[in-house]
Amino acid sequence: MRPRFQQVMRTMLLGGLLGLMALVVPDSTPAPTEYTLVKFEKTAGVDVDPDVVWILAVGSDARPRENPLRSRGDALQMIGMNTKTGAATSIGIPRDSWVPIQGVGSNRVNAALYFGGPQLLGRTVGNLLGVEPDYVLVATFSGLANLVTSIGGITVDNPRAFADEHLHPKGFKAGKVRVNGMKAVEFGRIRKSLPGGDFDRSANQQLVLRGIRARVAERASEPGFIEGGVLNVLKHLHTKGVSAAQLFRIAQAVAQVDPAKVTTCVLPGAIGNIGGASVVIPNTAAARRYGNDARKDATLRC
Amino acid sequence: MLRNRHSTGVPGVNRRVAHDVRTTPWAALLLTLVLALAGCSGGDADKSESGGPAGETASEPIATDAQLGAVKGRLTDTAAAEVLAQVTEVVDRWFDNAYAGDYPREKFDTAFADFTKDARGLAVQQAAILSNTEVGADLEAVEITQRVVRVDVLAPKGKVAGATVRFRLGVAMSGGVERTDRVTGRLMLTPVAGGWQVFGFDVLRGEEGS
Repeated sequence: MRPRFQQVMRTMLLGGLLGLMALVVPDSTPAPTEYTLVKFEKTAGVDVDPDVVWILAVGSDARPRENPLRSRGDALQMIGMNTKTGAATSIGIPRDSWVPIQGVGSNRVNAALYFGGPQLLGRTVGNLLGVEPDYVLVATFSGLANLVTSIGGITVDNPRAFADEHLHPKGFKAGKVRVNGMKAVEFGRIRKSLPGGDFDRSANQQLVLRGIRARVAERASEPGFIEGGVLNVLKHLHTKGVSAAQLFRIAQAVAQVDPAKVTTCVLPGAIGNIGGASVVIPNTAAARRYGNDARKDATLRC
Repeated sequence: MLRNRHSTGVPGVNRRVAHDVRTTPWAALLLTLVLALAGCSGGDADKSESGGPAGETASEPIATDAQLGAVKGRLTDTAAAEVLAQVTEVVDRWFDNAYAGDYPREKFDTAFADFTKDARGLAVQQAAILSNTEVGADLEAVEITQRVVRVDVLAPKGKVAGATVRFRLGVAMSGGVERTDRVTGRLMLTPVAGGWQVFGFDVLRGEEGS
């Protein structure tokens, strides 16, 4: 007889996603609402692991009645999810990174959205990292705030106390901080009072992402939670040709990420001055290393 | 609340087993993981999770206690009943081909027939959890002591787009291995032509009471 079986075993995985998706959202579509999901048209010959889904998440600084797809990206996070292993990574791109933008010349990376919409932004970030996104997801401030509210708020593990006299004068204390709605947005927007400026802001945005992940994980087993989440997103999502079933699969992939396999890095760089404006000169060698490191399996060492 | 009771559909299952049918409290399951996507209340789900029908004799195949859980979107009663029946059929096939059936046996090649190709590949790698592959050759019989299925449905604008199955299965094994396992978790499915396919899973298996 075999030894008595005592341990509890668990497995949770998803089949690949990319082959099942065919999203087509032209750049010329009308101004969206809170979220826009765009299928990125990859360039030929790019080595893509079908098990890893790459989504460039963009926080748009568009004000009400402005087109978020032709605004400036305030937050840029290249998120990779490995549907077979549950690993996930996020590479934060400082908003002020000075990079070449095809057809435009050199400019801040976030200007690519303004000049050429999600496709040009995806291409610009893709050229920097050597990893092109499969999708570009653009969310407005209110979109992110509503998302956080809809999941009941999040907890961020804040490494330092900071405040901003305009955005959040009361400030955020160090340690675990509960934030909800627009507070979560403010947590990821404040830059001036952070010692590392744009770099620390990008890291804070990753803390927000981790908080969202944790909250979704906490509630994923609630009856209908994923279904309700997708339904809610569909009400505010601007897409064309994206089926609810495809979004359902993406949502389940998100909910399957293993917290022990989440890695986040912010692209390093130096502060520079171009034309009198303070910019970040990104470390392009590090960018390529991050891309090479994470491309196949969505894991990363900073 | 819609309810379906499905027989196992596998003749001979459970008929050679001497175990008593046991019902145990539903141990809270910590399912999980990650990131973004918007939320919901999820408050309309059935939370009774009352367990499988008690009092069945060991000689009778146990029926699946299948109920509709949370429905997000609009769905007519007829459509809801159809979804419940179709999804339960898929889950029942997995239960039967992966855990029930005649023993001893070594072949479990139909266990994941309703999984997508990728999900099937992953399931095969985790076959010790998702089937009786590891112990099948040593067993003399298996009795399914509990089959509980709750189906949450996504149906925006009345069109069914996906479903999450929350399930609980009791597997009493006898022969070279004598123990009763509890298999719990979730299956994720999307509709395909002619039915439904499993594209993801989150499954926990352990000995009952452990």
